[in-house]
Amino acid sequence: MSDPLILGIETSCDETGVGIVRGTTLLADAVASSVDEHARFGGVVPEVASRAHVEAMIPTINRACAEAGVGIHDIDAVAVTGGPGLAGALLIGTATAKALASALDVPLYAVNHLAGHVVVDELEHGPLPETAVGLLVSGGHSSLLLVRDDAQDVTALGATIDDAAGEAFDKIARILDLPFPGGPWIDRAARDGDPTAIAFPRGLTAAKDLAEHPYDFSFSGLKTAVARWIAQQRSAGAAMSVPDVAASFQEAVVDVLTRKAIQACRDHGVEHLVIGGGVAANSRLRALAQERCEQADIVLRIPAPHLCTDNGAMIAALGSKLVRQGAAPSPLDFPTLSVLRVSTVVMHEQ
Amino acid sequence: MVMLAIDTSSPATSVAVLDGDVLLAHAVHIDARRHAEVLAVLVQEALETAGRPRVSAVACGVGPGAYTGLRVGVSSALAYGLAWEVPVLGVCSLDAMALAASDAVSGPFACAIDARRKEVYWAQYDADGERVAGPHVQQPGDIDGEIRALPWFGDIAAAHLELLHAEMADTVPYPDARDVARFAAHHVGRGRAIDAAPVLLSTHGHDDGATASALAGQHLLAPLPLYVRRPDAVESAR
Repeated sequence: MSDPLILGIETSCDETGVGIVRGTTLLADAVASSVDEHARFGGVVPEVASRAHVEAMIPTINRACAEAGVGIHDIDAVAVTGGPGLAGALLIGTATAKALASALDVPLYAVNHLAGHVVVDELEHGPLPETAVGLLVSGGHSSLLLVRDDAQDVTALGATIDDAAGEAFDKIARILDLPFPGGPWIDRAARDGDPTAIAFPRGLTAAKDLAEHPYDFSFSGLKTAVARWIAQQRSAGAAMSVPDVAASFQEAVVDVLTRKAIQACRDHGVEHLVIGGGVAANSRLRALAQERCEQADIVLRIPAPHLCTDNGAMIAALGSKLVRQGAAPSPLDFPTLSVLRVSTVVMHEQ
Repeated sequence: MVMLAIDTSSPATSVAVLDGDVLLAHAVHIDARRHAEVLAVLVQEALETAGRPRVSAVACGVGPGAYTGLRVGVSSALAYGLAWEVPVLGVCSLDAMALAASDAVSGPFACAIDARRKEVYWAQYDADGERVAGPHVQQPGDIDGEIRALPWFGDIAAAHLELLHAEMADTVPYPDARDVARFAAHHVGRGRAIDAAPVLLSTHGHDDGATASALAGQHLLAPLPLYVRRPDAVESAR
């Protein structure tokens, strides 16, 4: 008998994502983004995102079904992001999923967005190892996770104590007059720059910080340092190379991310690192992670960029895994939690 | 024809199953912060109570009202429609209140839903219960004096007794899915749902009477929230 057909719904930020997965095979990955509407505001506006989700939800489900060549009645289970994320945005997905699952009379799994970012790699590189470290970097998250027992046991090793990495990219891009979202533009500008041109600070890497925050990140000080440096150059009328600033800033971010991720693998005797989230599309992060993993004898797994950014396929992939593991479904009255602990992979009791 | 109706535009989450003129099931749960938790459960229970009928249309109160509740209601209604492959009809929640209010009053009247920020969403109705003005969003004190002197319905009107003639307001405190269903059932076949205009209104919100003019003379609406306000966001300087 073939594996059940899982529909996954993701609405935790500005992407309306619907994925369809059977086993670990990706059948459809439809995403509608409201990013162009947010660009006018220089960042994601929650109310704008919520309005866009309502309108995009059903068309995106229909698009995913068409892409997969299935009808809505073929779906065997529905998975949805229950948190963490923007509360108002999450609700569009959970309300849709609850109604859909109960009308279709199929089980419903309210799952953790962060665990989805790790498990999605199964769609591309096959089953995850028993134990892995996950590095999640996006506009909303910067976390190091210890993923054990085939993703049934996820613990947070560390997270950002201020800005998310992607947020820092957006803010620096704005100061450099680059468009929103800033990540791809900084990446592009940095290709022609010298990453050693300016020595920007590496947050939480001093000895005393490492003792207290071995796996935490901080990008707020870096952002301030870059902003101050640019302001000084501008007020002095000095020439400034945007590629050098972009490359030096980017290097400071990815240096800390990869260094702490490798350290987490070493400290926990883990041989596999999975990187996910929108910032995982950054070419320098991918290159440096590859280089350092090779040196440390760690197997690096990074999904294709379209599976790194928020999408429904990652939620379907996690739902599919939970179904295979025989996990209990979520009740119809599960709450939507903008702050959902990473240890809650699937939501049961309130 | 069996219709499932829901309304989440106020602190009440309400659900009704209507077969022709017969109300098969009806439930109301009042908690402004738990629409998302209770709605699907109420629907499931109502369908059980109604004897698991084959539903042939879904009607949804599309507000105006608190945005989060509206989105829960509209998203759920659309998903039921998708799963059952049946049409989803939008009803202005103030119109549903007006249907209930017209049983209690003989002349013209007005209905209100809480818009927070000291404002109310409101619409004015003639003696036949037809909407003649609104939906608008305003502070009660800014509403035309002649309209303020009409009988008002809605619990938020009762909170402004010094400004609104709201002695009967609590007879119809909130929009109720039962009236959404009755309203939709009455108008199905008499008109058709309008499409393009409310979609735009839904995205961009209000605009000095644009919602009211787009909805003038319309009864069945697109199943999308009536925000009647633009999102609060400031475009960046660049």
